[in-house]
Amino acid sequence: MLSMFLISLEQGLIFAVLALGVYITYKILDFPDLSVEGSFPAGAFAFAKLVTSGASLWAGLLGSLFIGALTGLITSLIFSRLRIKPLLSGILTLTLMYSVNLRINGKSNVPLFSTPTLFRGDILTNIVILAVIVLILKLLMDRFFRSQVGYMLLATGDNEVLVAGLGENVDTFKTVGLMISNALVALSGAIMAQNVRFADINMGASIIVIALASIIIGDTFMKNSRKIKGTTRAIYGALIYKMIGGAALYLGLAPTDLKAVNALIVIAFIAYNQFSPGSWWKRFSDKLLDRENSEGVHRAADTTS
Amino acid sequence: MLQIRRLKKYYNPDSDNTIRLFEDLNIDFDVEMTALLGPNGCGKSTLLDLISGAKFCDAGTIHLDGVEITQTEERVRAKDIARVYQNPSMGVAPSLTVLENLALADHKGKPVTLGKLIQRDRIDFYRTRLEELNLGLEDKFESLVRELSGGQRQSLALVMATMKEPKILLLDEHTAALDPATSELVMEKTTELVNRHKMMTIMVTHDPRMALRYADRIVVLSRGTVRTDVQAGEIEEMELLEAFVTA
Repeated sequence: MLSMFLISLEQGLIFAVLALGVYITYKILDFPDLSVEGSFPAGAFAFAKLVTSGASLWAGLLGSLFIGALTGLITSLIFSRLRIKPLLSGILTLTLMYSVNLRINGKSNVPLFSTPTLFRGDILTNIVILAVIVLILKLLMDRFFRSQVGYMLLATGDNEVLVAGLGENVDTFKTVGLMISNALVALSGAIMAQNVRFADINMGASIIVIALASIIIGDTFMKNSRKIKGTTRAIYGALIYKMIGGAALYLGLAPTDLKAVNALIVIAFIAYNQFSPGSWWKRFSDKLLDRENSEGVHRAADTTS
Repeated sequence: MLQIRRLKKYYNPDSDNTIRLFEDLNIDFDVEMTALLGPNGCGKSTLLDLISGAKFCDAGTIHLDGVEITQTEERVRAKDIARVYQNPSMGVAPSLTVLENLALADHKGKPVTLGKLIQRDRIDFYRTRLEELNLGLEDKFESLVRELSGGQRQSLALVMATMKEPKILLLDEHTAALDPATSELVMEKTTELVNRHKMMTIMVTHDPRMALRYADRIVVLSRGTVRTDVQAGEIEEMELLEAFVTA
């Protein structure tokens, strides 16, 4: 039981990096970016190529960040220059990256048994290392979203017309968002490759579902806490998600059914958000708030007239 | 001064459904509030789009203070031209707080870097601008804009649009989505802001009474041409209503 909990925690932290990346496109930019299914293995393959060629661990991780950012840039260029819809842009990029990933190492599976790695063998130490990485990334992201570029990115996802009215190029901020998002996803892929000791061409399949599940779960558990940042929610969501998956395996679920469970978890949480009594109450109180605000303005109008 | 000469704009050119909106429009705008009236499809909003750069004309020229801006991109024109839309959410970022929205508007025209957006020493300035509205928004710096009412949001959009004192303020039926009392209030705040900061203002409206009450000049468009162009004091309400209805 404890072993299953620790393994879930370890993998949850790796997926927290993935969730932080997808949080930018899904929650901030409202951009359905499927190219993460290409950038996740791309990060793993770029890392594998570099460390098997003698590069250091850090060079390998930097390489994965770079190829991820490049993947995001490709999606952005397809979307912004060719005016192809976001969903199709992502699909085209992930299809393109499938061949690129095979080209990087010349094969579909690269073992990583004697190469530099973040992991030290002892699972508790590994968890501490991963927790520090996730914390640093979260703090960097929170700082970024308090910067001018960060706020422009937030505003782009919220209201493109406003950003254009401020004299800024909306596509620039979408590109920045896609590049950072895919860089983090690729980094997550590189860390996962070290964890499982190989890079595989299929490791990105359905990874978007895991990322979305993490974000949706995080939002569901913390929807009443406005002060908790989206980055924190994404991290908690990834941890909870892996715990649920781990518990399902512990209770005897066949590993082959795990993907179906992943999809069912997402469906269950979305359904809960839509139909729970709490969400009905929220809609009702929002209506009340609107009415009160409107009456407040009328009172102000009466005062001034 | 904004000078529009020989403006031509067609929709769906080279098709059976070609709409010849403007064939040869000539009009000037000065530092005053001009109300632009006319029936649906007469070209009011398209004229604002052509001025702001959201759309480009097929022929003709637009000059602002002697500089031609006909082919200038919208985001470049945004330095001098601000716009407030019918939908109160169009001029703000609803998921951000009032303070964050004001800081974004305050950053207009400056390079976007990794430096902090919110400058604490500007908060008193923002507070003063919000106090001018007298809507209690100065006490709601940390409120999310989506939690504000339509009138408060539209007033905030006005403050944001005028914060960097643009040369031209375009008001695209900006009170149409509000109830009558809120609409009146927002219109009063608009007039106060425009008079205080002396901006060239072009206001599209369907309400002739509002035009008579608040505008300095009234222009009625009909099928892409100027049907009536008078100072507000030179036309009676019935006369304007007739021009509007028959346009």
